[in-house]
Amino acid sequence: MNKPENQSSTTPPPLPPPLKDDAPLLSIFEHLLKHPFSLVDNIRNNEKPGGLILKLSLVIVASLLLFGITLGSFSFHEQLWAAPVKTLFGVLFSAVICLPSLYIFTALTGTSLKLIEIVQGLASALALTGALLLGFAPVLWVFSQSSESQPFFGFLVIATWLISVLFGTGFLMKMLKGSGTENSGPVKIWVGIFLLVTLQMSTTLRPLIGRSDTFFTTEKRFFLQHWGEEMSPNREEYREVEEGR
Amino acid sequence: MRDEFTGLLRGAPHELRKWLENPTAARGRLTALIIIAGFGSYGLTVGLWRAPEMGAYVAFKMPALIFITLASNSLLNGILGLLLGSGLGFKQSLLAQLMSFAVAAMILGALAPVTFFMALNAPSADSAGATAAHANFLVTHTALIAFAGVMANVHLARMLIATTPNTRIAGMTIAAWIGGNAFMGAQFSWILRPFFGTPTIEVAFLRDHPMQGTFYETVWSSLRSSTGDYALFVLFIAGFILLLLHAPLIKLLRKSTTSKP
Repeated sequence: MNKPENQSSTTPPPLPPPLKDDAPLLSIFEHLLKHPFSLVDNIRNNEKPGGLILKLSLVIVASLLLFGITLGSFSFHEQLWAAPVKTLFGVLFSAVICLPSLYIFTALTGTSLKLIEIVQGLASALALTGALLLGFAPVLWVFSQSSESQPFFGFLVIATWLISVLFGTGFLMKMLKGSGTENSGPVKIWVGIFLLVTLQMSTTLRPLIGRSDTFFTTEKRFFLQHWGEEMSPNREEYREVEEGR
Repeated sequence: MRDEFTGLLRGAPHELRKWLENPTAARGRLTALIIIAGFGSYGLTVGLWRAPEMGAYVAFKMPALIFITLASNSLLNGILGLLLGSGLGFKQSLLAQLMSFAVAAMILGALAPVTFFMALNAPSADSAGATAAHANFLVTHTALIAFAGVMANVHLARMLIATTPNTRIAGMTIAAWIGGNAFMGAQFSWILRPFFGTPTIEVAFLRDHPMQGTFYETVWSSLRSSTGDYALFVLFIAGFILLLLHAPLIKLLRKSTTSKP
């Protein structure tokens, strides 16, 4: 627990224990939440980055699958497996296609971070996002069982996704700060791009919440148009037009 | 134990800090017991007016509502507390919230004899004046619960101001915790209904299909049907009143911001 400011202004708070290269998964997770700068330090000096990425990937995969199952529990049936698969694939694919821009935007801040360090940073940010999504999962599950309204449940899912990503990508800002850069503007823009990509991905991979005869919907649509129609009072009319095509 | 009670109620920063620096299982048990006793006895008087068995149901459901809400949000609140920089671990954040609910439980438990007397003196649920009595009951209990809730939140704010690095972090953490608990608490209170026992509806532990529908959809559709196009405006006014109710908390946070460098 942090000490209050007025207790001692001259004694700095105790340093967190350094994270070892072969630290267990639980220890990495703890550092991610409690001592992010210690994890940043480890990323910068890690001689075995593969091990850290693998362990963080386990957290990402497990948390996204569990979050996906929560989404699938709104409709049950085939969505119990389809929603987790789509969630996992969608987020990982979004991360892969956004990685080159993250590298460029990070370089624009003037930092000396290398690509492998940025990959570890992105994995940490996604693991943190996943942990928060897991925290939200009980909340969403209660509403998935109580509500029959897709727009309402969809709104909750998007809100939790936005909150989780904003907190998760906060790790990237801490990583920049840890590398001695104060200019985080370009990476903030990247966070906006990543959010847009994931939101579009949720439309491309639809349905994630309701049921459908097919695994994917082939019709191309911009996510704002999709949501606008789903949340509109004339939703049924839009549905009929879509089915008539 | 008496010292712990009074220390918790007084909310002196050094006493609250002592609790959170050492979040023992005994302290967790003590707060849980206070919640069961306080909310349980108050719940009994809430349901008693409708029927004795309703009193027993509500005595069980009120503490259960608190524990279910805390359990469903514990992971999220723990993570948010850490990410916002409060420095409180999972055990500490759970104890902080239990302590805050324990304060509300003590206030409501202390008011239970008054509300018991009120239930005994109100026109009975099968009399001609039942509808008016039910409405009065609703207003009185809502006001009392709101008062206890605001006082509990003020205590939580004192606790966080005393233990977190600065007031900004304390404010953000309390906003995240209160927001999450209020959001889920409202939905769980919908699932666990009835509490007040409408005179025209049969006494039951839970309504048929308790998981069907959500608190928010029901409130919105009721607002739409009663106020029409003014639903958003009424919602805005309700939000403003809620903010006004938290004026003591906002004042405390502002005061601490100016007193802390």
